[in-house]
Amino acid sequence: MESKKHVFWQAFFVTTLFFLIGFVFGIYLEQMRSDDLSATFYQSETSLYDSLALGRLIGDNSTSCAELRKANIDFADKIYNEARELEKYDEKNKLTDSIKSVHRKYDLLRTLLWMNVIDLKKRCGNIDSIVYFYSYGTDSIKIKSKQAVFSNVLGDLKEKRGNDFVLIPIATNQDIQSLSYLLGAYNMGESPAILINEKVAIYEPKTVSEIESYLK
Amino acid sequence: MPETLTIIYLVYMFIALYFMVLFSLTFFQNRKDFFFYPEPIKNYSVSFLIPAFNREQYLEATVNNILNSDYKNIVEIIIIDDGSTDNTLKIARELERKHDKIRVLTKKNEGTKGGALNYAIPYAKGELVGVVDADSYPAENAVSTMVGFFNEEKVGAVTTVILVKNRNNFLGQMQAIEYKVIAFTRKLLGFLDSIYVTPGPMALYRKTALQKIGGFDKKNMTEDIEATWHLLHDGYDIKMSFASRNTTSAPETLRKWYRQRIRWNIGGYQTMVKYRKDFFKKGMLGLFILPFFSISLLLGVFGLGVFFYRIFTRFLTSYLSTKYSIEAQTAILRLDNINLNPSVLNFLGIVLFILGMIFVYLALRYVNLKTNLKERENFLGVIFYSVIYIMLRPLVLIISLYKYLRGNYSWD
Repeated sequence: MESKKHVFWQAFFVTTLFFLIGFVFGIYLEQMRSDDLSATFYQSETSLYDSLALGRLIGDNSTSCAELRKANIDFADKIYNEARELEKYDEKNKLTDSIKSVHRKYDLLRTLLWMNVIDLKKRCGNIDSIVYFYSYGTDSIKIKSKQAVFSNVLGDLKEKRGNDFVLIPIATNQDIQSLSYLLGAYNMGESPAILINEKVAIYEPKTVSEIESYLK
Repeated sequence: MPETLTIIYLVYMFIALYFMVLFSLTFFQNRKDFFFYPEPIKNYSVSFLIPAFNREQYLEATVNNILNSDYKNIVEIIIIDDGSTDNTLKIARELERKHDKIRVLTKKNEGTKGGALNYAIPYAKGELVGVVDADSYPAENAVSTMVGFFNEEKVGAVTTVILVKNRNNFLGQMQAIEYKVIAFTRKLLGFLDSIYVTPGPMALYRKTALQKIGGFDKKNMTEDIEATWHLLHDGYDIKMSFASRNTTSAPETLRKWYRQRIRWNIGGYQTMVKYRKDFFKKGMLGLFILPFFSISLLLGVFGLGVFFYRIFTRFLTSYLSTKYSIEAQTAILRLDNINLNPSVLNFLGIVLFILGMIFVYLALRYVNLKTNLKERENFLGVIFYSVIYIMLRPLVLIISLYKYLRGNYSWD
């Protein structure tokens, strides 16, 4: 028996070694993804600050509402596409939470964008906006299914109407205080939901034409 | 912190990888001895027992194969007719008339093979007792390559490579691959003193060892597993001769296959419960075989549960997504919904699958090396075996567990 024991221990040692190497490699891979996304995020953050700065210039006629509107819509499109990419990596990161913090930063960025759009509407008016609120990382099958459909419908609408409106998806369960305040201010209840022009709240998936009817 | 399911996957993968590494190390450390068999230090006398119930089609060929053995000290072949209702007894009597070595015993069918064997053991004159199923066919050198292992006093039983004879349909081909992989794995376990079964199609036992353990357990659905564990429990060693060959008839229909596997699993549960007190006690039975069986059962049951849970949630998600998509008049599936980014778990799974395929390839290669059956498995068959066929096992495991717990089983 003694002569056999060594192979069990050898196997355990080798397996643990392989596993640890795999684990470290996995963490490295996920961290690399997270770092790539963080780099993209910093660029988006800069674009938002630029947009915020543009907004402050509107008072002295240095810039027009059309330019501001375009800057915000372009920025919203950019981070909407980045959000879709983020979602794909989200599902596949199994070992670390590094992507979750990137996700939270994006949600804060989108909250700032929304606040900027509200401000822009007050100054320039005539900008359609749809804010899509969803739950991040939910386990509920019903909510996940609804969110998938909301996402597809809004994607269809974006393809149809292009830059006619600003589309901002924001996760509501990321513990962002400013967002919580805004949700309370606009009487938003559970998610998923969409808020059209800060006036109409929709809680069940609707068709593209039904949502379109609320846009100007 | 990884999710619960991720942790479960990682634990499964660690265990699977551990056994893969264990078998690989065992193989590399012992590959020169794979086909080794010792020359016997004496001319052991061998009595063969063939329990037969309704085996008219196969019995004569089984007996002829034993008679054609190159081992010259087979003193007798005892056919035990176990209450057959076909011509088995008639054929047995004819064989008895033709050959002096053949004896026929008859008994009333008690419903188990163990009962038939126990009836015949006292009649056996040989030092070694060979047990052969009435539809199994030992190769010419099967016995001569096994007897030498009994040179060691502690050896209580020796097993052989069991191959499938009837490979004419797809199920037969799958079982052919399976039996070869089992044989290879069993030889590796032999190097670890952890052979846990001396399969019924053919095994050689030291008669005194069989008598010491009181023969076979009649109540057990797999008397071969129980006898092996009993021998181990009593301090005997079990060896395997990889140079020895025996072919057997495997179930030809899915229904028969299913009933056989239910019986095997239930026999396994019965034996585990019977020897549960040996857990973690001295000897490989307690330190490896019992934990190995128990972990396999746990992983199989739990894993299938997780698998069905995942299938169910995916199905429910698809159903609800489809329902909402129809209501919202949007596409049920978009191209950008498809996410092909691999996760670390995907990589690990692929690595394990590849290692598993390498193991199966090695098993087939080694078994085929000295087998006279001119066969080679085709690649698609091996893939199907590795992906689909082995997935049936956890399912049968759970159904067997249910039947066992309900007491709903009988020998088939």
